[in-house]
Amino acid sequence: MDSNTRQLILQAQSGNHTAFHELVTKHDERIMILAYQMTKNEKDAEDLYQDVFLKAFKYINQFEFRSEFYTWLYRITVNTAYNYHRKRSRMHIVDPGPDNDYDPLNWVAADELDETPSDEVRGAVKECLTILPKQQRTVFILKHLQKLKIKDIAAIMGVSEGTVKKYLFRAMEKLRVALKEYRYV
Amino acid sequence: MSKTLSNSLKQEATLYVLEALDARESKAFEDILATNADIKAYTNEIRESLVFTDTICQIKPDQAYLQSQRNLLRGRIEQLAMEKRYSPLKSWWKSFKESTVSILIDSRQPAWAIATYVMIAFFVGRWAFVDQEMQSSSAQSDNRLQEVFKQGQLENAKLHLTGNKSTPVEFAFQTNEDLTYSGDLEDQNVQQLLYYMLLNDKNAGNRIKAMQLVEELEPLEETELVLISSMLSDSNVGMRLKSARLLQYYEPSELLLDACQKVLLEDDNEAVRQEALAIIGRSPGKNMIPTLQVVGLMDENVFIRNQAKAIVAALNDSNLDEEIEVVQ
Repeated sequence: MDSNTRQLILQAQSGNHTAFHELVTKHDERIMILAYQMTKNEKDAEDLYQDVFLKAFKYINQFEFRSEFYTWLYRITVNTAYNYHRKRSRMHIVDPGPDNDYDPLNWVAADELDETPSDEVRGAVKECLTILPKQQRTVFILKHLQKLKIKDIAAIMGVSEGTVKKYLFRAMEKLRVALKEYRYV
Repeated sequence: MSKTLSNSLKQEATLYVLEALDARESKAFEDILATNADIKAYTNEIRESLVFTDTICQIKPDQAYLQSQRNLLRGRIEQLAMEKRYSPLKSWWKSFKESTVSILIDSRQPAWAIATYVMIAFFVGRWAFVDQEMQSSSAQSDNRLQEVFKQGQLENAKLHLTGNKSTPVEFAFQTNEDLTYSGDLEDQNVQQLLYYMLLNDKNAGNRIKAMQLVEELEPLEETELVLISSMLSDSNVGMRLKSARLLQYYEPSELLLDACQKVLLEDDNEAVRQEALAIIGRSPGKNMIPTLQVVGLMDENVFIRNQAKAIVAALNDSNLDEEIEVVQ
């Protein structure tokens, strides 16, 4: 952890709101992206983003520098996203299913390629990610899309590194099979 | 092709493509890759599959959008902090409660009982110990009420609605001078007299009249204390129920929740218990789990039992959720 982040955390822990907002500004883009990747829709991603930082604000004094600050935020994000899903299932809210509008107004593709995949391929990828078990999907998102280290993913998810690797392999194997026909197009 | 490969080799290929192998493992895998056509083909399939997900899942929020979320968060945090910030009334209430609790704790008085003592403190503070320097011509009515209080005549007050817009409420006291006091609902003396009447008048009709006027008051902390006392102690079910219903408009304080637990366990009337449970349901805490568990098993009303069980289940979930969510 860099000394600036450490200093900001200490200041935030002593009640300095400006320091906390600086921490937010430093980390929130990654958290928003993760929130979107975890929830698959903009509205839920916004709620998740707000919840994560409100919890971080509320519990900042419990942060004991045993992990990187962003790892702690990721952990809150993942756990809160799981609980959203669990509460939604328990309340029998009908899941709208795969998001048909994966590029909402406020979001732009990071690498706008000249040759974008067809709608059919987009649909297949989205569907496949949707049907992956949540742990596999989370590991895939954290490793491949968020570029985290296996060690950090294990810490965020509270599982061993070996388990993370297994989840990753299983997720990738399902994606490989699901996308087989499109690879040769 | 891939059917001929072992799962461990496929896993290594996946981890290799995802750059999850260390330097030594990568080197070892590259040696296999150089000699095994099947694993090479499999590795390429993984790479190609990832290209699709890259273009579809790699996203970046617009900066203006992100800033709007930060602003929203800033507002919510400020709101959270403001709730905790210094408030003279809350500060007085806190110090009063702390000192009173420390006195009462030895005699094992429950927190709800404090509400009644607080009301006594209001009256004594307002009318029995008027600071001489504060007395002025505008304080004359205070002084007269102080006399009424000292003579113990407050209990004999009669409440009238005058129909007059500026002073719609009138109290008549059976004193030597046949004193009357009138004012509107924003008059603090009127408010205090209504509180007193609501809690002390032996005539249920008078208490109901007072309650109807208290209902029109802004939700003040003092009003909350009076309603809590009424919910806990009024002999009339209708009054207890009305108090509990009015308390639904208040942010559930520790004292209110404590009182609701007592009502839930002890009130004979199921409608009152149900209102108390509804208040608890708005802001349940894990310290209430034992009470709710007892209610979930013992209450004679099946709806209340089920509701109590549901709150316990939700509490167990949310306690666990929040604890797990922020663990490092």
